[in-house]
Amino acid sequence: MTIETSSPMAAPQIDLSAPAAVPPWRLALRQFMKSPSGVAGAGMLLLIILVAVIGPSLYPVDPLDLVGAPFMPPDADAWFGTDYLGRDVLAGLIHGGRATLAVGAVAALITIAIGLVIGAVSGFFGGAIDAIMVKITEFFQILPPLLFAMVLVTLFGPKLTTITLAIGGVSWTSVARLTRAEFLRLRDLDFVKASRAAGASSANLILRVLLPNALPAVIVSATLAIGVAILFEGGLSFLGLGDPNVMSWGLMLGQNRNYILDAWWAVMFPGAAIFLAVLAISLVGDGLNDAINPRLRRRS
Amino acid sequence: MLIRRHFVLGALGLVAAATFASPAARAQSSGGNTLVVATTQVPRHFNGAVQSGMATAMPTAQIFASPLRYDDKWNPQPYLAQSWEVAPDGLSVTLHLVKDAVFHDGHPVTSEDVAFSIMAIKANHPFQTMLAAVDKVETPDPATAILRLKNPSPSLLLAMSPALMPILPKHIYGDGQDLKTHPANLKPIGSGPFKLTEYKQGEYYTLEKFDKFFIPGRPKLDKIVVRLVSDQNAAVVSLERGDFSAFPFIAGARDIDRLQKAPNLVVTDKGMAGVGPLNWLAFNTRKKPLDDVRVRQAVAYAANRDFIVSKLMGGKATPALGPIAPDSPLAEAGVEAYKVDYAKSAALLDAAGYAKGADGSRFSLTIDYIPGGDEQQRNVAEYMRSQLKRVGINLEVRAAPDFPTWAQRVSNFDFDLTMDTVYNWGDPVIGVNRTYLTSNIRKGIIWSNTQQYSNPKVDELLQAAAVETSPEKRRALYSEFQKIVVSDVPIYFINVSPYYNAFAKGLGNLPNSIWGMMSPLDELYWEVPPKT
Repeated sequence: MTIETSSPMAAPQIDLSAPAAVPPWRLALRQFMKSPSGVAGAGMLLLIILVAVIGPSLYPVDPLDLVGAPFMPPDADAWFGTDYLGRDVLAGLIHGGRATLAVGAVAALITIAIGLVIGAVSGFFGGAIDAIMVKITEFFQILPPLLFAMVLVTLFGPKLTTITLAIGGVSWTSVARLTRAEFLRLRDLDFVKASRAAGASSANLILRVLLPNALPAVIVSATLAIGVAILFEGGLSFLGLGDPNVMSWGLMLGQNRNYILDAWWAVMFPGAAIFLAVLAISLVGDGLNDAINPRLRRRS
Repeated sequence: MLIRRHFVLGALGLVAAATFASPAARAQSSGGNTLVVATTQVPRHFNGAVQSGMATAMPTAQIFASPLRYDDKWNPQPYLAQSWEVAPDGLSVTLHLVKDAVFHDGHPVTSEDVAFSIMAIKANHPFQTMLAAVDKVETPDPATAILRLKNPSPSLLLAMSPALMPILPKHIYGDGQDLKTHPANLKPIGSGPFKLTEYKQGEYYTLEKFDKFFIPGRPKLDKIVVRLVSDQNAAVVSLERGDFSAFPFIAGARDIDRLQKAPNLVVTDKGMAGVGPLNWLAFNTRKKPLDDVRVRQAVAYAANRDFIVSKLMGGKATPALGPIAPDSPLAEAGVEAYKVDYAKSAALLDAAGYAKGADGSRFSLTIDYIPGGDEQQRNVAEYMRSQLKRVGINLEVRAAPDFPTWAQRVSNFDFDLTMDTVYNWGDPVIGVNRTYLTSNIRKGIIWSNTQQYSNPKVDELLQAAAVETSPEKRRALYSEFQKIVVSDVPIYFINVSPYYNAFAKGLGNLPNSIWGMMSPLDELYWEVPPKT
């Protein structure tokens, strides 16, 4: 029962941060490496990140600059062709990956941050606080996220920061519910009771006892949130709410879709990039889920 | 709920269009004499006396007759006025009306109706300068109307076009109700070649031949059905298939190109000379650093009009060099063209005191654009960003989510550069002056002088030209005006917005006059009726 090997690591000791014999992340990593799809996803993701990080310095063409005539098909001069203005699609793919991944990562962080705080407070304290927090979560949950994000971006202008905040601001409800459920499950377990009896404060209990045990589920959800955020950015751009001053895959897709019959390359390549990135993130998320979820691990 | 219902109605409309458009088209060959028109221009109502714009002008010109009409060379032709005289001092215009014209309800058209309509348009039409010179209209007898003017007004004859001066029956519209919301605006009665017989809001309107139209033998068509379509793509496909026989005001190089290749269609850019739709880049001339004419000139030299017109707009647009559309007889071709010249642009910026900083940039600006029209507006704004970077200006594209947001920013002078599109509407007095007169810097009003451009010499020239009765002198005044405005660069003029009309082959007497589909279609006929 791995749940016991991980739970008591923090429980009986008075020193709440005492390490376990085998660090749980190493167990998880060992398990993750057994999943071929997870490893493939991680490899793809690493490659995409690598291109986004060092690519722009190796291929320093400004993706917003005109390099030739509009709608030049892929050839020796422009490997991936040019778009409706004559901008280089390859430069857009390389430089745009940065913005796209950044939006995904930051929006996911915001999602996790809001979700964790609301879920933790709600699940830990219970009672009236819980009731209020649940109502707030439900309120956000019934708003259609895409429409809600569109309203936010329309109100505050299509800037990359606004878009990121809007995506994070509308996607946190599932993380909050997940965290709350974990906290509700954990808070009456013996090791938590023991810590409480030993005089740990609420903050101490939340941050050092409950959170580390709730985290595995949240990490999986965070990974998937990156993929969702990337798709979200693409969706907003598709509807004309992208930031026209920062090249991103979503923006390329959204702006070029009107010209798909004239220049398939300007739509296909960014579309494929989004597809591959989201696929990679999903595979990693699935792999992590299998690796971290102890019940599944026992079954295998 | 509302959204869903609209969606359902919209879907039903599509189905209806698909199901019924073809039988309507078939009716033409089976002895019928109908024209089915598709348009994305949805009218708010059918009274062009109180509403500007192409959507209202097209049906207004069918339903109402006007004192004059125009050919394709800007020559006035008799219409309700069989003849007219302008007094030698230019202070009165006498119209001699045809005697047998009647309204759709049988009442005769008299000078009383003309007088009522002119004063109603003067009071209600958004183009306030159009009839500003008219003091009163005298009606010595039912067939004579004399317009008394405060000052000579050579633009007046063009304002008597069907698109701008519908003659309303006084006994219907003169009942004291507010004309802008008059119930008859949706059930109009005029004396034009067609009467409105049916209007399904947002779907279609039907115009039927008026049997007692005062020109014998016209109109030649029995019926015009105008289908209001929201999606140009769908209309293009229907047009190729032959479901529609006419599609006016097509924008977008790709759709135009595609329809030009269709074997069953005639596609033309004629019929928009009167409207003169200009597309341009405007400057906020009171905001630093754009208050310096050298900076504005530098921006103009950094843009490449030829590239914009031939590449970004697919070669369907016509370059425009100045404030008067090139199709107008008053257009001056000999203005500075600002041929792209990066060295000159950089030198002007240096001279203005904006040297390049260590990072290679001089200063930052924003550019706005009207949302919705990508090819004419957004794409050019994005293009300018890349062009200005070449001369060291950082340009940030500022997207507006909708038209009101853009209009609010620009009309409140909260912008640096903006793409804009403004129509000439025939004579400069009607649609050009508003952009350049110092007296028309009116905060909060879009399509006024939002550039806040002020040049006393320009004000003087425009005022003189508005009352100059000698055509040669008038031309000379406007010529000087155009040269000054182009060298002052409150606006970098780019192109005439391409609006094309597509017609089914087999139609005769296509409406290619300066007002195109916004003129009476009484001569249009089926030379070769379409086959099923």
